[in-house]
Amino acid sequence: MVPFRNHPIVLVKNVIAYLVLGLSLMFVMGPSAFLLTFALVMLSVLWWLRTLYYFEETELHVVRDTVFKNDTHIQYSKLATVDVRRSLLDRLAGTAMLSFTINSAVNPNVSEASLTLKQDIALKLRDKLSEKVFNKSMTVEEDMNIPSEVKVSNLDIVLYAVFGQSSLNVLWGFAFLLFSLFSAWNGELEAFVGSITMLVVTNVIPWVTVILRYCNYRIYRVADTITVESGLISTYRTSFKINKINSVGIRETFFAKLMGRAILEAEVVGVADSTGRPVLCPLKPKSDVERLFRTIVPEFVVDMGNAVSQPRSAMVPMVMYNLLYTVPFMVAGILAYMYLDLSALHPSWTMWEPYALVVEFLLVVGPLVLAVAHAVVAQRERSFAMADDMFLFVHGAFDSVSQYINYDKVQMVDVSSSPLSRRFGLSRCMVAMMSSMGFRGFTSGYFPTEVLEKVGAEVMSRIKDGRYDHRRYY
Amino acid sequence: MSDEFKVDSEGFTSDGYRRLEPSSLKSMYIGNLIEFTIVALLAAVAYFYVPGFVAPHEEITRMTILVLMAVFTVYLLVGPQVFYRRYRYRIDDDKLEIRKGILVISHKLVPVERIHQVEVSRGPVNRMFGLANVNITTAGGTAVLEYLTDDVAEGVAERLNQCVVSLLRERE
Repeated sequence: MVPFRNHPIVLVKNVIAYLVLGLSLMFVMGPSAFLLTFALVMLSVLWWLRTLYYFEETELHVVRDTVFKNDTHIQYSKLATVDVRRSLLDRLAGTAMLSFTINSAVNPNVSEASLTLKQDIALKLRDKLSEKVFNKSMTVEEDMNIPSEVKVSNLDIVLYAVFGQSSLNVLWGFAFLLFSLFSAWNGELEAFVGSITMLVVTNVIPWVTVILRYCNYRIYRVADTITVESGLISTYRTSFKINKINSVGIRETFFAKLMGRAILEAEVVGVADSTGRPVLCPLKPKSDVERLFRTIVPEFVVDMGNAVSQPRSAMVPMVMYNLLYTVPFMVAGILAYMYLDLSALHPSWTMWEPYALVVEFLLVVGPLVLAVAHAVVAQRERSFAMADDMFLFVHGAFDSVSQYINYDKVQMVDVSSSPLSRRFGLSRCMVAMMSSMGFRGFTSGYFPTEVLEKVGAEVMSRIKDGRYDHRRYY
Repeated sequence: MSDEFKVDSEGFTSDGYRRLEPSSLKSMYIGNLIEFTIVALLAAVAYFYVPGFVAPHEEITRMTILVLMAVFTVYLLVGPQVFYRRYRYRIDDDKLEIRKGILVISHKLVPVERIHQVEVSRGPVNRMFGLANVNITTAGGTAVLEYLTDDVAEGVAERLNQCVVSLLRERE
């Protein structure tokens, strides 16, 4: 069997990284940094020369014979995803990186192995592996001809970048923008630079990252394999089997709801962007998202006609706990009103006193209003339903998610009640799952304890009566 | 104490749960004492060296520190008793259940089928009283059986390991 070795571009990437590191260290360590850089480069050459990949009948065998010897066997049946990624350097060199991730909660966002080859060889190899891993025989050319299940325009991607993040983040961004405009208007250069820097760090950089990652978005399904493709400068192409999906969520942020839009996300180990959200459909009109949900992951679509809303009594613990969160803000507002003297801090700050009064007022009243509004919205949004193979948690409030969860993927169930919710016989249920970024818990709203206990009972009864069959998830 | 917490001569409640040994209380109190010492030191520093920006309101600040320390002390004194009385666990062939909590009461269920790893750990305080924790790892996180006596902890770990091994053998 002919082994594969990484393309020399990998060595070039490593050497560039070590040279940059060496140059930076030169300022601290002096000429000895040169020796360290030389040693690292030599190790890198050794690693490149002596790391070989054998694609055997049932497994990928990676042999590394460097300072540390390593012999890794990765069963094809354990692979959750086989990704193809192309960075700018890869594009220049005409290469592509194949990365292999197994279905494990240990470092799920880090590939177990990656191999960079000439693009045509990498894609041919991926096709061969697709046959073994996903039972999907198709060439790259055929793959390219399959139309996307959903058309995502560049405008959709921009909207997704801005409004796909949590509403709180959007509001922060908006606040920084307003403040920077206000500072510019008043000629306050320092305040302007500070607020515009915060806007760039907290919002603009994430927007650009998302746009670069999700431009040219394409998603399609062949048999039981879903392929997601996107990217502007670096391109990403990920394939995973439907049985590797732990749960599917329809996420609606506050601003997305105002626009009648939603996002479709799936929890698949090893398939996540930097925010930990593996996207099946970026922000699109909700009807499009629901249609895609039915066509791309019909296994998760279940009749949730028996979904129940939170009992009215749930309002009491929700409002009370929300009010608890408001206390620090109210105390801060009151203390600031009583003791804050801006002119004592800096004589020129007297001009800000009227604004400080507004902020203090908002600190006291705002959280109170928000606490009640949050509870009212949460009461309207949250629901729970159990079907044959899946159950549904609709959780959140202003930003909400309808999470369709496979019983067979639940690792632990925790039903808990606080002193207040116990008075009304209510609890919350947290199901622990293996997720794209490690462990993730999904928590329900407040429902009668005996109703939520049924989730754990159903997980157990599926294991006992054989409806859960581990072979289905290989 | 309600009937659900009463144990028979074998140490089981009527619904098959086991409770903690009384020695666990000592370990909890020693742990709390260490916690109290650290917090009390920090509180004392705050009490005697009131920061400048609240100095005009020294009295109120000191009173607040004292009240918070009093509440914390009561919690540390009462907490272990409530925890001890509420804590129950049950191990079947196919699942593990833990019921516990002081203010928030939780019922955790871990299917044996999902267990990846079982580990017995002993901290310095627990070692003083011959106690150990059993950490049960699944792909979705870890569940911990706390304050078990050494022999019980080893027995639980052995039993869970056997369950996992026999499950894997069945699959082969």
